[in-house]
Amino acid sequence: MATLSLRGVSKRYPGGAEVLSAIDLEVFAGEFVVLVGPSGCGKSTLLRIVAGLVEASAGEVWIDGARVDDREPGERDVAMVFQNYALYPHMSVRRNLGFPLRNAGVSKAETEARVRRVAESLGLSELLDRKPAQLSGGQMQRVAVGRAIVREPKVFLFDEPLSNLDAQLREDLRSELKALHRRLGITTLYVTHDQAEAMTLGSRIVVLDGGEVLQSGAPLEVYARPSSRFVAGFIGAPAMNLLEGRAEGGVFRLGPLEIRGAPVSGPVILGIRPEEVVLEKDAGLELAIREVEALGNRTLLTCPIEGQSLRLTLPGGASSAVGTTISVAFRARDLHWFDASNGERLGVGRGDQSNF
Amino acid sequence: MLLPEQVSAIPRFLLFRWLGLVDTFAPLILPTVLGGAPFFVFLFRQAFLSLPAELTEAARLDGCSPWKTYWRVCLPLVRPMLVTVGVLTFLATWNDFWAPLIYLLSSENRTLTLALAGFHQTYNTAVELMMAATGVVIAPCLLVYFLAQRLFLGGIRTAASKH
Repeated sequence: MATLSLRGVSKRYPGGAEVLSAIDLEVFAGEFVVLVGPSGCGKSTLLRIVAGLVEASAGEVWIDGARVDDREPGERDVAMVFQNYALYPHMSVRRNLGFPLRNAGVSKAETEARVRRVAESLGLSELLDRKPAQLSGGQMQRVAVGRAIVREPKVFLFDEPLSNLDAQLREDLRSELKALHRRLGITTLYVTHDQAEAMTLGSRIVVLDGGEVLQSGAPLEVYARPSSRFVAGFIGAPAMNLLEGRAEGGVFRLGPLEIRGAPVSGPVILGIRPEEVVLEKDAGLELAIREVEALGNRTLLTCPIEGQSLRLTLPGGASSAVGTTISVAFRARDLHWFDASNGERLGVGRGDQSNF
Repeated sequence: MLLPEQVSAIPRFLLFRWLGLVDTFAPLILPTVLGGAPFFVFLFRQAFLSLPAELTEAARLDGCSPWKTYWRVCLPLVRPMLVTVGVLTFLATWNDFWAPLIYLLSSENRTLTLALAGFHQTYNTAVELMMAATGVVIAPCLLVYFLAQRLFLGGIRTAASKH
């Protein structure tokens, strides 16, 4: 097992903006790290720099204690799974799987044996003589994963491998990938913009935006203590409510909403997750329901508050109608505070027990 | 491509005469083999551009040199274009009247198109003989057409797959 480390990696396209600025990232041996961020945040570029498909403008890439910046992609001992599979359409599954081995000079017999073993472990044995065009999306992605693991690389790179699949298949393959990582224990860097993949797959997630690492940590830790307004809004679905208001003497005010425990005075952002807003009779904050989205297992309500909106989730069976009023309360331990100017997290986010 | 072939005919003839290749097949073969029509360059360029970039990236990661990527991955995928260019080149060469007329002087070297033209002058009114002669001349074209059709459709099937 190998460690992957990026030191001060930057990428600037000639005449263009900086896509990545001085990224430091350490993926420990056997670790599964998920890079997550909105489109255009540079996560795919970072992956391509590791693979050697894109050259960094500055910085170093180290794999297993060796600097690999000037090595060809084929010599870095990394394997990559692409979003659109990138299977060779003119080759059978067998030849697709064996291609990297044959290029590496592995003998025919050995290639055949290893292809057979990988095909068996991924349930592809029946499909070895088919061409990619004769496979379903899920099967193609399995072949792509097979082509990556057949070489037993030091580092696995995944570039949004599941985003072309439909929801059910995505869930199945997600758990398969997780099981595969547990079994092989290969150091993995995985790029996605999908919440569920980010939360469930990785032992650590790294949130990128604007070419910078905003936060890195265990999925639940990032969920519980987002380091900035951006991370708070990005991690978690439906997204965290971020209400902009003013605090005076420790009391946050936004129209009818008044909460004690604001860590600073002046403009401040209050964050609370929709699932942590609680319904409470006579709690003090009465809101009209503007929108009801019944998802079956839960119901999503949207209520206007001073030109902004507060979303909350209720259990699936809850009966709510547009136009009626509900009474909500926030628990102090669920509150997050962010600086209104730079979006940084403020303090520990502890409010008073009774907020209204 | 902008210039009509006739414009370059005289300098080209002088060149081949200087090389001592007049009345051989070389002036008919060499230009096609060495250059081909510039139009085909455009066809191939478009065909290669239509290949997804991830395929060549995957090949690089799988340890292919640029040459190997070209030979093992890209070239097989533009097979429909190879067949198309092959068929078009064959037809153009087979039906060429102008170049053989200029370069081939002795009667034993003449191509079928020249022979057919001569035949036409002699047996203009003998319709059945003209039909027979024309049939002989187009037979190889028909053969190539049917052979290539299979390859051509096979190529389209590969190309149409979701990459």
